[in-house]
Amino acid sequence: MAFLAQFKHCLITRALVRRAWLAALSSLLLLGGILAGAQEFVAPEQTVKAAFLYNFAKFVEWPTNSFAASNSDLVIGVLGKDPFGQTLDETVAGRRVDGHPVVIARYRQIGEATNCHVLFLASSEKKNLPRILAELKTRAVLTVSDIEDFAAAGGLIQLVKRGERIQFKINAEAAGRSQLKFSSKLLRLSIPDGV
Amino acid sequence: MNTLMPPRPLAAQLDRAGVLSLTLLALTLGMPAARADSALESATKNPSICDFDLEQLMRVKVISVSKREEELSAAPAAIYVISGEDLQRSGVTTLADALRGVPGLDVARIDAHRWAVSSRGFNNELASKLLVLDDGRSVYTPLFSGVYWDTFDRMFEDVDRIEVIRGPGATLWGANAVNGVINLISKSAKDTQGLLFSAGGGTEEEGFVSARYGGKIGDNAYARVYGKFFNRDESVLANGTGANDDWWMSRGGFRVDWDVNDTSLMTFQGDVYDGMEHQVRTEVIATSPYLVTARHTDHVEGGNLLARWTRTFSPDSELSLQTYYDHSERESGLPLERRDLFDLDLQHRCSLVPRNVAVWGVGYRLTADDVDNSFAVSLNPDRRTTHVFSAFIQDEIAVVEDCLHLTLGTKLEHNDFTAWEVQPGARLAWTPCESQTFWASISRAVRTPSRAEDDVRLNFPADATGTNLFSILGDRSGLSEELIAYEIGYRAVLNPKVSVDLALFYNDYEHLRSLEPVTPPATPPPALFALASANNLAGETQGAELSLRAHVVEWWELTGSYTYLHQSLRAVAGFDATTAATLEGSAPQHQFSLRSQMNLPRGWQFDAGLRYVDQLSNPHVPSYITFDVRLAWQVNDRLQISVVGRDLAESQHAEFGASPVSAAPATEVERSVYGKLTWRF
Repeated sequence: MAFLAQFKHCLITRALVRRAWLAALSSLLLLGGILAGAQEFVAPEQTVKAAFLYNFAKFVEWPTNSFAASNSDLVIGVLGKDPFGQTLDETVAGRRVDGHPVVIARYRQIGEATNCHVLFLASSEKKNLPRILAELKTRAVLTVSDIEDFAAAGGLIQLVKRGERIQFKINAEAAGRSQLKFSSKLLRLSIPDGV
Repeated sequence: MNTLMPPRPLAAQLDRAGVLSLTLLALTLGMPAARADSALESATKNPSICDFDLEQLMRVKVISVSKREEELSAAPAAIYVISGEDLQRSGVTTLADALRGVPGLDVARIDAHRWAVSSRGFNNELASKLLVLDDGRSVYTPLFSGVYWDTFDRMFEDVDRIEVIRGPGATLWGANAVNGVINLISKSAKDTQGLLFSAGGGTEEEGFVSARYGGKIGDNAYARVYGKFFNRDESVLANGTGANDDWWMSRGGFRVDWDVNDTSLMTFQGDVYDGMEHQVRTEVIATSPYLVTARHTDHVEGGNLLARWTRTFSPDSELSLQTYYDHSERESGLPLERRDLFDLDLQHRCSLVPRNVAVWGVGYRLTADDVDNSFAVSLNPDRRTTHVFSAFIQDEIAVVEDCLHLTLGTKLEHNDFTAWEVQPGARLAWTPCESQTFWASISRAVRTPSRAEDDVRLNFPADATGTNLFSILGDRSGLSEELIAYEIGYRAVLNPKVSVDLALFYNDYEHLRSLEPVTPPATPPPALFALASANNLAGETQGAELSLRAHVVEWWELTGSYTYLHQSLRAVAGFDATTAATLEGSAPQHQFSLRSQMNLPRGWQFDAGLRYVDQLSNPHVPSYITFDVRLAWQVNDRLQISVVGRDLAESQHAEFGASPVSAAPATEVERSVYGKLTWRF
C-alpha cells in the first residue's frame, strides 16, 4: 500500500488535473497493480547480471584454502566503475553459498582485491585487462566481465548479450588451468567456442 | 496573444470529449476492490530473480536501458520509442506505416507510394511541421517542407529504434521541428554481424528480397553491407478499380563503426536507391487538348554519405562532429527535381559548473536544387542555392539533485528566406519518486518558408476544358509560421512491466500559411484568376496523448495509445477562411490503437494490432477501424517463417482525401496478406 500512498501523494499535490483525470489515472495504476501480480520474467540488464554473478558462485568450487573457515565469507568483488549500484548488494543480501555468507566488496585497483572469490571487472578496466589478468593468473579467483572478448583475453567467464537475453562464455582452457573446479552444468550451459 | 492557457479550460476541453476518461474507467470495470489491494501489495515487493537457477536466468528478457533511453525516460518532453523488435513484429513494410499507433501522430496513406504523416495536426501530403532524421541525416525536403516517405526506407532488421518526439524540438534540432521530430537510429555494425537473408511476397507486397552481411574488418572495426528490393501492387480507387500506381524500389548501403581508441568512435555510412513509381495525373498543357490525363512513370533515385566522429573526454564531456552529403533526383509533380545537400554539425556536451550540463553546437547546411519546369508546375528561378547557419546552447540545471531539473536553451539560425530566427525553450522536470516524472515546457518554434512557397507557379484548369487557367503563386515576402507551445506531461514506470505516459499540449500559432486571391500574374500564360501564398491564418490546437505499455505475463505484451486533437484555426480579419477549414479538417480528432505481442511455446509468435481513426471533415473521409495480425514460427536458430495480414477489417478503406488542387486522385488501402522467410547464418 505504501506504493499507492506515495503515488497519490505525488498526484494530489497537483491540482492541475480535474478529479476525473485523477480517477482515470488511479484506475490505470490499479490495473498496473493487478498486472504486476504476474510472475517476474523481465528485468533490467544489471539486475540479471548481478543474479548471474551470485549463481556462478554456486557452480564453482574453490580450493579449501580459499576460505579461512567453513562459515567465512564468500566475497564477490567489483573492480573499477561499479555498474550495479545497490542492485548487487540487494541480490546477495542474506544469501549463502555452501554455508559461506555472500558479501560484496568494491575495489578501485587490482592491488586492493586480495581476498575475493569472484571478481567482476567493470568496463572501465578494459585497457588494464592484460595486467589484471596476469596478476590474477595464479590465484583462485573467478573472473567475470561483460567486456568484449574478455574470455578470449584470458578471462574465465564473459557475459554476453544475445538478442534480449544474457548468456555466458567460458574460456575452457583458462578454466582448466585455474585452481577452480567448474561444474559440468556451467560448462554445458555456456556458449560453445567459436560462436 | 500568446498567453499561457489556464489548465482548467484545457482539462475541461478534454473532458468535453470525455472519451479518454471513459476508456480508462472501462478498463477497470469489474475489478473487485479487495483483489486490487492484494495485487498492489504484491507489486510493492520486488520479486528476486536471484531465486532463479541458471537456466531460468538465461531466459529472462532484459530490458536494455541504454544511457540514451535513461535520458529519454526522464526527459521533459513527449517521447515515444518504437524498438527494432516492435518494428519487425508490427508486420509493416514501410517506415511511414510503422508510425501508426504512435500517440500524437497521424498517418494516412494517400496512394500506393504517398503518405500524409503529421504530428499534432495539420496533416496533408505536404505536412510541413515535422522533422524526420535518418541516423542524424535530415530527410526533410526544402522544396515543400515535407518528407518523401517513399524513399525513406531501411533494412528493418538493422533498425535499432525509432524515437518520436512530439512537440517543438526546435531548440536542439532547429527550424521545422515545429510539431515533432522523428529520428531513426540504426544498429551499430558491431550488432549486425553475420549473414541475413529474407524474402517473401503476397497480395500487395508482390515480391521483396533483402540481404545483409556484417563482418569484422579490423581489430576494432566492424562493417555491414545490405541490399533490398520490393515490388508493390497498385492501390484501388473508391469504386474498386486499380489506381495504376504500382511501384518498385531497390536500395543498398553500408555502415562501418570503428572504435579508434577508448575514447573515439568513427561511423561511416551511406545508401543508394533507385525506383520507379507509376501515377495517373491530370495536368494542363499549353496547347490543345489543354487537359491531359496520363499514366506517368516517375523515376526516383538518390544517395547519401555520412561520417560521424564522437570523442568522449569524460562521462560529462563529449564532442561529436558529423557531416553528410545527400543527392536526389526525382520525377513527379515537377518533370525533374535534382537536389544536393551538404551538412556539417558540431556538438559539445560538457559540465563546466557543478549541477549544470550544457550542450552547445554549431551547424551549416547548403541546399542546391536544379529543376526542369513544366507548363503545370514551375519554379522561377529553376536553380537556387540556399544556406542555413545555426548555433544553439542548452543548459540543464539540477535545481534539486535527482528531483527538479530545469532546461533552458535557444537556437539562433540564419536562413536565406527570413534571415534571423530565434527559437528558445524552457523545460522543467520534476521527479518526485525515481520512477515518475512530471514535466512542463514552453517553447517557441518556427517553420521557415519552403522553396515552393517562395518560387512556385502552379497552373490548374479553371474550367472543364482546361482552356482557361487559374494559378497558385509563391511569394518571396512570406514569413515563417510561428508557434508558442505549452506542454505538460506525466510519465511513470510502475515496475519493469507497466509504464504510462501522458502528454497534454496547447499550441498557439501565428502567421500560418494561407492562399489569398491576387491579380493574375503578367507573365504568360494568362490566368483567369490567381491565389498567392500568404501568412494570414492563426489559431490554436490542443490535445492529449496517452500511451500504456504492459507485460501482462512474461510472454505477452500489450501496448495501447489514445490521441485526442482539437484544431481551431481562423483567417486574420478581412481574409479568406477557406484554407483554415481545409487545415482544420485534415486530422482526426480521436485515434485509438492497441497492439499485442505474444511469445508462444516452440518458437511461435502471435502479434495483432487494432486501430481506430476518426473521420476527416475536409475533404471528408469516414472514420475507420481495422486490424493487422502476424503469425511467425522460429523453425530453428536460423530460419523464421511468418505470415502477415494487414487492414483485414474491410476489403478496402479510404484514409485520406485528395485536395481540390491535387493532380492525382487519392486512393484506398486494400486488405492484404504476405508471407516471409528469414534466414540468419
